[in-house]
Amino acid sequence: MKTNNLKIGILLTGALLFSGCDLEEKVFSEVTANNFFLTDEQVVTSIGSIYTNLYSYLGNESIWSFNEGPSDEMVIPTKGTDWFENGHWQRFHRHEWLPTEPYIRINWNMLYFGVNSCNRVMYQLEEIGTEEALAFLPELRAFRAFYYFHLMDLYGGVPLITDFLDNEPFPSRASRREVYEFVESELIASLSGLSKNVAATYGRMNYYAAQATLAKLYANSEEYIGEARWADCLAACREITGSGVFSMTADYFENFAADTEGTSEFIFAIPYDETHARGNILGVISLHYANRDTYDLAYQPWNGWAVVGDFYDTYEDKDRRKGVPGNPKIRGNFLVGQQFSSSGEPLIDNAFEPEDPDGAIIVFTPHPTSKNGLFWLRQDGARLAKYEYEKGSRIDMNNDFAIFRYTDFVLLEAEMLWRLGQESGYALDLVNSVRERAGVDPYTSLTEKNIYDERGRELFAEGIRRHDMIRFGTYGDAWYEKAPKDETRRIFPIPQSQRDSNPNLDQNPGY
Amino acid sequence: MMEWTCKIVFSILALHIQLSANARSAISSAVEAETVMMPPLTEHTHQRMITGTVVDESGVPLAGTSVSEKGTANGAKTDSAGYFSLNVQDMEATLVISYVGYALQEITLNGQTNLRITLLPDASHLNEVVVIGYGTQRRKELTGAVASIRAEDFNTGNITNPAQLLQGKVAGLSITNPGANPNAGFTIRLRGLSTFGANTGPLIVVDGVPGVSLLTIDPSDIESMDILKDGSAAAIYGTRGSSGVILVTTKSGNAGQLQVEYNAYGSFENVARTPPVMSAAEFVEVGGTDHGSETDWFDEITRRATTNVHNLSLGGGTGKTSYRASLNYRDVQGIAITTGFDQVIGRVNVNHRAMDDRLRVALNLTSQIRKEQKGNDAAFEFATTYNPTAPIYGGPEAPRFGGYWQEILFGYYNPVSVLKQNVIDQERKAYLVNIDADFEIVSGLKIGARYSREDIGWLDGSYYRSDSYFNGYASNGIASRRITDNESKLFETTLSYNRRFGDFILDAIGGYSNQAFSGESFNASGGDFITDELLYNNLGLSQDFKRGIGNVGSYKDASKLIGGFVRASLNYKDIYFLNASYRREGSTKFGRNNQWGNFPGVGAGVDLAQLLDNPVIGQLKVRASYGITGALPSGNYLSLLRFGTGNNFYYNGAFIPAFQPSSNPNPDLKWEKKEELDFGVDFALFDSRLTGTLDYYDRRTIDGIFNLPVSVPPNLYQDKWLNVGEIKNSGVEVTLNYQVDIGRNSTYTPTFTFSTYHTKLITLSGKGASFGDNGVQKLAIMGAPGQNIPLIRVEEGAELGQFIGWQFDGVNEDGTWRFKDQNDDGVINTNDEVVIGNGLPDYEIGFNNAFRFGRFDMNAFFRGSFGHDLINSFRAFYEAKSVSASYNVIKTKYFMPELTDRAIYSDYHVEDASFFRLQNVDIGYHFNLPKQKLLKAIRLYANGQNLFTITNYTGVDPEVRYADGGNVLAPGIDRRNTWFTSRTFTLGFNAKF
Repeated sequence: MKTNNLKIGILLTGALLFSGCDLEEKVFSEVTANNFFLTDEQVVTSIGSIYTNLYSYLGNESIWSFNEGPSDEMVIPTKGTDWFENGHWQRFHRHEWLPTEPYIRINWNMLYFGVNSCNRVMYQLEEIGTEEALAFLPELRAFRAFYYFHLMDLYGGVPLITDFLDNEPFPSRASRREVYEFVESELIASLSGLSKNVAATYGRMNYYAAQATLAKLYANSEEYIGEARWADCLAACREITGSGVFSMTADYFENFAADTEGTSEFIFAIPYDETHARGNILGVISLHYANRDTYDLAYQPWNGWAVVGDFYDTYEDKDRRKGVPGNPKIRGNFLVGQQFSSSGEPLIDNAFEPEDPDGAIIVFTPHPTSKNGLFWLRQDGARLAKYEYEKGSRIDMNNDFAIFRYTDFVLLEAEMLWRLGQESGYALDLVNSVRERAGVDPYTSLTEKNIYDERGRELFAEGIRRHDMIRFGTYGDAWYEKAPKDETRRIFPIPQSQRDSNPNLDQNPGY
Repeated sequence: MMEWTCKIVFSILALHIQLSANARSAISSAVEAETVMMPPLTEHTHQRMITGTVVDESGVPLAGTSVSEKGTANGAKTDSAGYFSLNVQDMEATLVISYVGYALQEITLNGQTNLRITLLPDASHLNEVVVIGYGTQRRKELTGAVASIRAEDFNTGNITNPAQLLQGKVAGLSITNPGANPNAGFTIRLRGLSTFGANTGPLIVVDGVPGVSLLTIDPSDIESMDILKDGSAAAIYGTRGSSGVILVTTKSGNAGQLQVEYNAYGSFENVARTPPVMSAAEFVEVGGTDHGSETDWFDEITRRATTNVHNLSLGGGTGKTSYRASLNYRDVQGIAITTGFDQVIGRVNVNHRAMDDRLRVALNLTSQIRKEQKGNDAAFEFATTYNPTAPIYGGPEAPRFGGYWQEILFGYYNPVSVLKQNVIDQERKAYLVNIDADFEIVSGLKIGARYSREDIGWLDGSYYRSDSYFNGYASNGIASRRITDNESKLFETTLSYNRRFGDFILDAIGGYSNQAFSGESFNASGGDFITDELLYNNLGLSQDFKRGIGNVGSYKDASKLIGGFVRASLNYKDIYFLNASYRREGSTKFGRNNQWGNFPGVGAGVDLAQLLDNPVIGQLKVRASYGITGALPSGNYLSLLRFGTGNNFYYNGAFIPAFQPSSNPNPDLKWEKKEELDFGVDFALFDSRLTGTLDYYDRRTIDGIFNLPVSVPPNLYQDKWLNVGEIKNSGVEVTLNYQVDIGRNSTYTPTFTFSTYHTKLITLSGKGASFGDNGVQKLAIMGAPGQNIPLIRVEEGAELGQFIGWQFDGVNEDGTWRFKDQNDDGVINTNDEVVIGNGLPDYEIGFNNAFRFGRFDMNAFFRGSFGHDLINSFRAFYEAKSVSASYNVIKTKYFMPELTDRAIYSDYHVEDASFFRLQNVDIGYHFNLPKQKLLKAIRLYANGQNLFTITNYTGVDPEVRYADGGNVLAPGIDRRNTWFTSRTFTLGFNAKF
């Protein structure tokens, strides 16, 4: 009995000895700062996070869409039951957006994720302190300036956070000029530490990408700080055009092909890839559902973004950039006319709308058949075809995207010369070199209007138009389904969600 | 703090050892206490021996029933055959027969010497033993809100999930599963919503093991379920008790004769309700494209589903050992073609007593294998919207889509092809081991320990054929495989003390608990298959892997809960009752300095009946209780800065993974706490014919754990897990039970439950974060096509569940919608949205009617929820004839032929979804069996489920939607992927051998 009791007692209490009070949390499948960023290779992976954030540069709610959707180039009409979303895409087109629209918030968060990531990685690199680690700092400073440039361009003055350890929970807005000056000085300060080896820094913030950012900053200085800085813009452009590193490709569409890893025009690229670097979704947002069969796509497109008919009409028929209606085999910026499958069968929409003039066959009309404002028929409108659709493409396309492309700065250089009244013959030659490649007749002289139009045709759908329209003073004008608007629409409102969580954020005037 | 808990634990441990060593001296007294109450035979001539058998209502012997002579200390207990013998002084004596859970019976002998006594279940349940956390109590001793449902009161019919057993039975407990998907989980909600944390449903405790998956237990192995509703009752399970606790007790065997039970039933399940859509002719008339056929898509994707269930159990034992073993087989078809599951659960329970019954050891083993064919919920949406003039097979697209008719529109697929061309299977294997033992050191003092382990593994496989337009065509077939393994290990030790001090009875327990959880998973998916025939069984054939675009992933995580707890219960003369408990617990899920939390509970009650001495009033107990419970966050590691890989980064000509923080870490994250005050009255009147319970509760959740938008900058990500929420919730619950005798051997017992509650969100702001626009957040998106707009408005200071949207104001002459311009600015936009409904019910009732006519029994159970609205998504998307350009048109009584506009959501699509439903009818007959050895009892029954529903709701199922895809802040949305409802008829029998 006695031994039995003892046995039981030991048995029942024995369990206790195996257990304790230790609540150490074990992480198995994610890394923590304690067990990572120890080797050079691991450090580089941390830099990567500031670049991968850029993969959302394209898409419905992105820097690209902010420069295209509210411009006179593109429109997101409602198609049948799709793309209404309580009117927020129509408001986007009409410059009637509210601070609560999702795209206002999403873009803000993306840009600040970039800023904060730069701050975080800079802090980490300084902590590591090795020569290899510190060598990345200028690149990060310039990149942060790039994000701040877009924040300042889109939202005006924003909170200026430059230190990862800055824990002020409710930062206030700096003025637009303060952010502008910060961007300028940071870019200039980092130039000397940036690489000029374009091949080795493909897809990264190198010397020329920083100069291009400066050029864009100076180009719209009048808007940002109330004073024009044409000469500074010209100087930044010439850092690029005069470097001898870049040149115009023989074929315009080479720059938008699926299989390139950049061309001689790429200054700052996003190296999109269907597997490794996903985010180029310019196909899915624009193509018709049935276009899946045109390119044997591995996804069904959403039938969304279309081209404004009047913009389409600014291209001459012989302009190689325009393309040929009904023939998707010939590259063009647009897809118009009757649509066919890859094997040449007409594409059919069995359930066509009663107003559809040609019935079941699908014919993209550059101007909508529908007379009901931004409520279009499913087949209405020219579609985006500038970026090559690879046969069998996945929803995330392989096409690398040039945020800064050489020809943009050739035209900008010409424009600056024209604005400064300098070297008018050379400026005309620059613009005509672009026109010549497109197969259209040369201009005989430069005007504000013809520079503007040529920029539009050449740089269509590259996420540049809004910035240009503000500089050329056309952004407040009326165009297709859009009434004239005052200057308050030139910047977007501060997202309502941010103002709710941060009482120190004042709203922009007019919102 | 941590050390402090450890100290408690180790002092308990020290006490154990000391007491074990001293135990020897106490043995003799312990044995004395266990001496059985057979009085010695005397020589008196007027003493007579009475013999008899005690059986339950179905004729099964009741072992351990106490039989005593009234007014004396004379008594006996029945043996395993229900047999007793007793010497009485007087042949006119009255015998009192009592058995826990059964009505006390008094029988005057009138000279009889051999009796057969049938006990009926105790209507008053006053002496019923109720399972509470870490122990039991008699019902009358409770001071918190505890409901108990025994097997005989469970819902019957075709039960696919143990949660169904309780549906509607307990006031304040809502159990829903809209639609008839046999593989869908049930939403369980106790007293509304009081946490945003991981457990919005109650904690499930099976035979003392917290956190067990209810699905591992077969419904027919369950003996009873006890529901701890209020904070004081749940506080002993403090850390996970905020949404209440359901204690499941499984069946165990009785020593004695072998008892074999065989239950079997078969069910037919038919579609009860489908969305009203246009016929082919109507569809063509409003402008739909006519493809020349006529197809009833609902018919094509559904069927009369049959279910077969068999349960076999063996129970018995000898001497000190008893056992029960059961095997349960279920073969269940879903009403959607190609869906269903089959399941085998084996269970063994062994109880052993040794060392003069001072040592008790129990072992429970459960093993489950379940194979589900899930089908695809989307088929129900497409069956509703698909062109009724399209044929199932053929057409221009058929050659490349496996012979099926398809139309090339966005997100629009032939529903038959969706179900027939694709498979989504899941296999679940679960093991539950639970060993516990206790040992009585001295009389009243017990030491106990428990070890338990639960392992659940899921093996998922899906395959979409290369000619499946729905999915798979694009990638030339696509397969995925996932294996997931979750385990939890529990160690517990307890020390309990039970003793009477004069008029006081003290019950006390203390213990230590350590539970570790881990989960791991591996998955792979890839496309491009050379053949569709192998389904997901040979992923190596996927060409995607050869091209480097196949997906592979794995993860592992772990967490741990460590706690110490004590409870004391005091009973003074069965009049005054006091309970107090305290748990201190720590979790790895919180920040280093906030891991430990304190969870006290206290309750007091007084039975006024004992003071009033009125013969009508058997019980009138008033009670009050207060308790604090906690809730854990849903994820692990929220306090840590972790880095995960996102996309890849192009560096020196190659893509390398880019690491970035996975979320904003919150090193200060701590326990969410809920304080709850409960006032209750329990009463039993007229010899316990009328019994009832009334409860009022008021709960407040603070430090609610919520993922909230934070200011960017300074935060990296736009949201962060914070302790910011405060929710208030109060309600009333009523349960009434009345037993009516309606003639010889006939009774009618109606039971009525009523509950109502209001959940208010007080705040979701603070700590650098605020919720939505000025304390208002809009969420839950309606969806494609074209209505990506929020439906729900969550507002600080207001009740949960508000719908927002435009107010319908008629149809304009040109056939367009007219909405109310709330701010008269001439434009209809977001600023014109107003509150247009609420998704949570005002009150819910259950009404059970149990009849017994001799050998017949009948039960009819009604259930209803009232005052909740539903957003009818089908109507919002498809009740406009303009959609006929793409989809079939919904045509309810609200259809407006004059409307030519697009479908636009407004309050026109919000409907009152109050309903009252005949949930369950059961008619059974107990056969009168000739006295023979083999078959002891047999009951044959027929059952109908969901026979009718009274509602004005035009959608398929007016059931409350408590959450939207897991989002508890967005109740009330009837989504398009809801299965149709079904009506089930079951025929079955229970046989005892």
